[in-house]
Amino acid sequence: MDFSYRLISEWLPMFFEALITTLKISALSTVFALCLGSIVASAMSLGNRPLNYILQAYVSIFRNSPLLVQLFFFFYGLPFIGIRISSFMTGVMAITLNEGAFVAEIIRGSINGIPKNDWEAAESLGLSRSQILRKVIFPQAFRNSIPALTGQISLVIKDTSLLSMIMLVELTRVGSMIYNKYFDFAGFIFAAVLYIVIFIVINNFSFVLEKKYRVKR
Amino acid sequence: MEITFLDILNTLKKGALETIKILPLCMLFSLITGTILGAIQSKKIPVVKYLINAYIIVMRGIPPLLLMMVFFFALNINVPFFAAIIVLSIYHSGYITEIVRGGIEAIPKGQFEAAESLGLSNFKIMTKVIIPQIWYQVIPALAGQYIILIKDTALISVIGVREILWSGRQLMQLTFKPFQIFFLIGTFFYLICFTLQQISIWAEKSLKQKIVDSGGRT
Repeated sequence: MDFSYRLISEWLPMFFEALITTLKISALSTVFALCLGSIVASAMSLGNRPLNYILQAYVSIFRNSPLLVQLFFFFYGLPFIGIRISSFMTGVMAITLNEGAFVAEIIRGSINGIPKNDWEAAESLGLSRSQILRKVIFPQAFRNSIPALTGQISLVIKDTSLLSMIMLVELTRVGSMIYNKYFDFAGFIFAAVLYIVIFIVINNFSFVLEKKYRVKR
Repeated sequence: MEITFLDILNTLKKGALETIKILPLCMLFSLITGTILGAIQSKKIPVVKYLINAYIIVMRGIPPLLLMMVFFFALNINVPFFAAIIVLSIYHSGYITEIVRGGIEAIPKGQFEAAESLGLSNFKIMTKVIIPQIWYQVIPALAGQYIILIKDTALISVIGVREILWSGRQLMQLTFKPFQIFFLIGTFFYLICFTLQQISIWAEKSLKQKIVDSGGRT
């Protein structure tokens, strides 16, 4: 058990690469999760019975089981049915499906929170149901759910640390690589500091975002 | 030797028992620490305030997996079981501190003043008057946090606790039946989380009923 600063400066290029990977995965899965969640939530509010059951099952299953289990499910399971994708794509897929379920639940909540009058008013203008959803309800609901969404999305960066379990070189993995080589936990500490810095940046950014899009009533 | 479905179930059962052993301990410790820190935080003591804030930010920013590795490898805690309990408790008490602080701040100021006018000490005001009242407010958020805690117990297989996911990965190397194994593990977590969710809904409702029955007085 040692702690040396020299190691960190030696491994700095590796850390930088890992940081880029972490950020890339987070950005990709955030965008995909937002899209997936929006689509699922909108489809749920259209009120098609059989579709609703399927979507509810999806949301409930992915919200109530650990991301690590889902990750292993895809990582070990997909090659078995003949689908071979890189661990990067597996990671993005698992995080997207997981966070998409949370995002769907948040947006569905705010769609339900939009007063019924809006639906009726739009209907009286002769808009079809999908048009109402797309042009009237969804923009309002999305704006209302921004505070909850930013909270959820700040968790994505933490989720990416799990991808070290499927042999993807990102921050946590670099930390454990250093530990395995030199029995030195400096790598873990440095990775932790990087994560905390990213979190603080995202947190402040989301604070600005919330302020900008606050609904004035 | 052929490994049957029954063997898989039996092995997973052993792991599941270990998970169930760890869970209540983590829940209890994180609740106790979180409540104490939350009570201190609501007092807004100058220096302590910033220390607890820093602790909360670190816990919110760091991934639980990394925290586990830091504790297990850096602090040389050689018993994985204790390391797991310590890490999960520390991690989640950061969040529970915020939840409890929010609950305390939602209690009307009059309560504090009334208790003070009865001559109670600060400690007694907290423990006898304020804390018992916050649970109704706090239950939904607390249940949400506990569900995250339950899901985080899947991570402790990394530091070698022989819980359900650890057994699952061992089985995976023997049998190569990923779908069965990980589906069963997922179902196990799903059942626990779902039960907890239902309990929290029931508890919230029954507490609400109690308040209504007592004529609006909490």
